[in-house]
Amino acid sequence: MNSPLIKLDQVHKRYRLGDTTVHALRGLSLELRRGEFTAVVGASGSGKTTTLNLIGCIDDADEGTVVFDGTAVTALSDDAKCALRNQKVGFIFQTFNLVPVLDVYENIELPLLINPRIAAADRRERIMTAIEDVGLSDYVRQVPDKLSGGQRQRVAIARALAMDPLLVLADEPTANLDSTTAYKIVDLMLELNAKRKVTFLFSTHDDRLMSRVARVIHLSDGVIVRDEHMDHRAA
Amino acid sequence: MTSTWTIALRNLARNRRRTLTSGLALAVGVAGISLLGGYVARVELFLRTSAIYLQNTGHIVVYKAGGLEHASSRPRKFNLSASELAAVRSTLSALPEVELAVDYLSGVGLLGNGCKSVPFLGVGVDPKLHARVLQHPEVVRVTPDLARPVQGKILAEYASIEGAVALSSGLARRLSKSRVHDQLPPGRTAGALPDCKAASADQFAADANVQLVALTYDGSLSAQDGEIVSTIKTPLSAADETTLVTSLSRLQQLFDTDTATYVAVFLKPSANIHAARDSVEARLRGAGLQVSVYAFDDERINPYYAGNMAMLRSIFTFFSVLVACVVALSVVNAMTLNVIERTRELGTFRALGFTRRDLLGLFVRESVLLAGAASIAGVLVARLCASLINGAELRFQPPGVTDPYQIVIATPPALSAMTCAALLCLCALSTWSAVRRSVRTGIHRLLSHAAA
Repeated sequence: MNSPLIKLDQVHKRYRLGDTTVHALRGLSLELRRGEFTAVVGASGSGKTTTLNLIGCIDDADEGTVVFDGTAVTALSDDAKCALRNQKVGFIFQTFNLVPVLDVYENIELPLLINPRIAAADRRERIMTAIEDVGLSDYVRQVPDKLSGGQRQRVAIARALAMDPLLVLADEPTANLDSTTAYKIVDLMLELNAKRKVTFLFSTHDDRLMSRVARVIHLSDGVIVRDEHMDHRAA
Repeated sequence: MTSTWTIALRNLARNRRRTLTSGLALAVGVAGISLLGGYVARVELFLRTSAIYLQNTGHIVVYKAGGLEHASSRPRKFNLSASELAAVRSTLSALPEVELAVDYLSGVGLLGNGCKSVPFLGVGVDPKLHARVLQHPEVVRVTPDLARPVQGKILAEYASIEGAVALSSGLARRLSKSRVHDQLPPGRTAGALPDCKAASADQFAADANVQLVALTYDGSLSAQDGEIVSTIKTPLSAADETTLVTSLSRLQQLFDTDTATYVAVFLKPSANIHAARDSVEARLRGAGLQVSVYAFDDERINPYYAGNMAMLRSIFTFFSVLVACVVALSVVNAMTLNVIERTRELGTFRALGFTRRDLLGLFVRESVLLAGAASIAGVLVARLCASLINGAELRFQPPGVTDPYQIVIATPPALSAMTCAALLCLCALSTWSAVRRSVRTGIHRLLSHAAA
């Protein structure tokens, strides 16, 4: 339980914007342990999304190493990263990113589709469990357009959990939600973190949500300025 | 259970207007190619049957070496002798793909009606074998009108009439011979020569007698009486005013020879013509015969067939390339728009673990489904149009052809299948070309594009 799931060591990331080079991460080092529920906070441009992208293998570091569950991801091929993302990482996006032509069940089924090792019966069971976990049993055949923002984010959470990942990455998952719904979503993530022992890492601007989080990493200009382990986490 | 095919199908339904527009473009392309291809296929069948069975060349023609070029001017040297003909027939009879081998003698002379003489191009052939050729199932199926005499019956029906000849309609008309043997009173004999200056067309038509005059291979003058038993159509108008068909023995008597100009070889339907040509040539040369063997589609044998088919195939190729370009551009345009609209979705799929190949496959499936539906629609439209055109019995007269030709459009399943397969491949390739760059874009860029 205490071995690091994620380890970032002296990671640098730069982006080119026209003639300008933006230094998004400047030697960031970080460890995440299994089962942790962690928030990354910071102003816009502080490097939150870049950190999540590197951990989730959807972007590559320019320098430094990123180790995921004991594997140095920088050396992996694109296909291997795809497999790692599919099997070990769940993603929750700010704008939900559901596929509009698919219903709730089918959206949650998406990551399972490309994994031939999961039998059809197992697949169905996983999907239905995930749907029950997020409280959407009455909306199985609804398309995203018919759902509220909070319900859509619940679908996204169910989709992220369908593969039983080691880590769920959520980039500003409450930014498009009203505060009541945002609390409910964070509470749901906390509940699933406790129930499934899945590691959660999410970025947020919302200071009010931090009262519910066990660990808060403060970023500024691409470096960690404070790493807080809170003792007021909601049960 | 959802599959990537289901997702592809739903994505097609997502933008119905675009899908419909692209699908219509593809369907019209398929219909156009099917109709033009069907027309070319039908013309090819007509010209092929006409060339093989009605222009007396068979599938394969055996000449003495150099005979094709020189037999008309130096027949004594370049015709096939009786012994060579026997050896050719003997060799051909051992080949399983050969259905029939027929000796033909051709030569020129003058044909007269007592007052007027006109040149003729004579063809001598065994009437019974000639009848088998004219009544071949392929001829009956494809060109029954051309094989049927305009007047009278086929030559083989008049075995008892010495000097029976069949004249092309134009040649009979030039000699004012408007009636054939069967249309004249029985027991009638050739009358006295009319007063040529005062003779009317009715006087020439009062009998079916003609006189054939030619130089023998020795250079002596030779003459024969002939009785017109039928008038025939020739496939090509160039031959309509000169063609005379009679028995091989009769023409050999006229030219005082026992030779033939060539042997036409008719193959069984399953035979590969060019392979058979090679095989026949090898066998004949192996038997010590100095011969040249040609396939019917050799432009030296059938320049009309070869020239027309080359032109039609060029038109078909040009049209197909044009349609392919329109189809490719249409698909590339539709898929490019799809990709732009679904950039965030691409990023999401990649984040969920879809590989670049998976994403390409998803888009290719969409275009394959679209192409499949459009193919079916296109083929159905083509069949409907073909039925309407065939039913309207439209006719036109191509240059160089004796009679107007009915426009018939065949819709062979093989052509439809090939067109559909080509469309599927083209659509898949166009989609791959339109999408491959986008799926190589970094995932974070795809996702941030959506947020922008």
